[in-house]
Amino acid sequence: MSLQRKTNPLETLILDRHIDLVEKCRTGSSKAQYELYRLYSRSMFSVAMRILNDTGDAEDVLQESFIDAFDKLESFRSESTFGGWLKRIVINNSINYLRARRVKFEDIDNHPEVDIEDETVDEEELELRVSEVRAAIQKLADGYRTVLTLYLLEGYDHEEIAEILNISESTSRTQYIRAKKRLLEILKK
Amino acid sequence: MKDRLESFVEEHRDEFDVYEPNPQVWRSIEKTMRNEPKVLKLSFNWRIAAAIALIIGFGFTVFRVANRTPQPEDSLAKINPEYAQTAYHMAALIDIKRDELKQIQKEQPELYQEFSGDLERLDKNYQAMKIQLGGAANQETVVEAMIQNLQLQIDLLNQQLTIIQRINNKNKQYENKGIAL
Repeated sequence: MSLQRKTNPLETLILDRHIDLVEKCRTGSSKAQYELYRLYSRSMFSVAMRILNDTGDAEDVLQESFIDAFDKLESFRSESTFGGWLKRIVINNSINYLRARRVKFEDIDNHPEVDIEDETVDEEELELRVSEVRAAIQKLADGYRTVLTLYLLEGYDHEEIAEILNISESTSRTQYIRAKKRLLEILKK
Repeated sequence: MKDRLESFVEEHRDEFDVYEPNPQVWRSIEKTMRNEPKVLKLSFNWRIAAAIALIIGFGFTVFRVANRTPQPEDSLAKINPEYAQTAYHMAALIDIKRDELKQIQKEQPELYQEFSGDLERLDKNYQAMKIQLGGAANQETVVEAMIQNLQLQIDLLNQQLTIIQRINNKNKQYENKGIAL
């Protein structure tokens, strides 16, 4: 059911190669720093763009996150992959930017439960295209877009999203289902 | 069970990462990293090693002070054993601090000469009093003066070492280098 981080063998192999680079960065090599930036900047920028939906903010977050990462490199342990560790920094910084925009991730536990199943949009009729899905995601409201991308694209489960956004797990689930419904409505048009 | 949207995204996951940052971003990162003072970060093991070295160094200093053989102050002991004890501890401390001062002899010979010149004057005074002591009518007063002289030497050395440390710190700031424990 969940899209938790899947580690396929090839991915692990690639990431292990990057461990060398991480070690070189620890010694302050700017060449190694650039290599890591080159390898991860696009995916990390995409993470920030999906959450923030604003090029300027996303570039600021990207810059801050890489500086944070290079500064805190000794706190990175190989238990997680470097990419996963860096991504979490990018996400946390992005969320901080969102909060500065006064986006609130409210807990909706006390609200009457909406019967979501009844309202599900029939996905089968839809022919999905990547560019359209991408564009539709950026049309979602900030709160919906964040929960949806964290779950659908960044591979976090609801427990993790709850922790990242400081909301309850059930709020994360409900928000995700609503966001997905909204996304499909946009795609239908 | 994954729904169609979830499966679709999983299949095309890489195609979603299409946003390219402005090359200026890297230039800003590079600039920031270059301007940050590069602090040599010691790993946990090295920090432990450094701490142990400090403790051993401190212990050794205490040991040296405590075991210093009383020499010139022996004559004092006949007059006032308490003063003699104080005097020889002070003399030992002065020796240690003088050793410390010697370390700047190479790097800053002028400063060293000036500092040791000031000390020599005090020490000459002390040696003169020691000679006086034998024939002095009021030995206690001379002994007190000797102790006071030693105290002055210690104060002076402390000030000198503080100045040296300040100079060193400034130099370090210029080099933008340091060791953070």
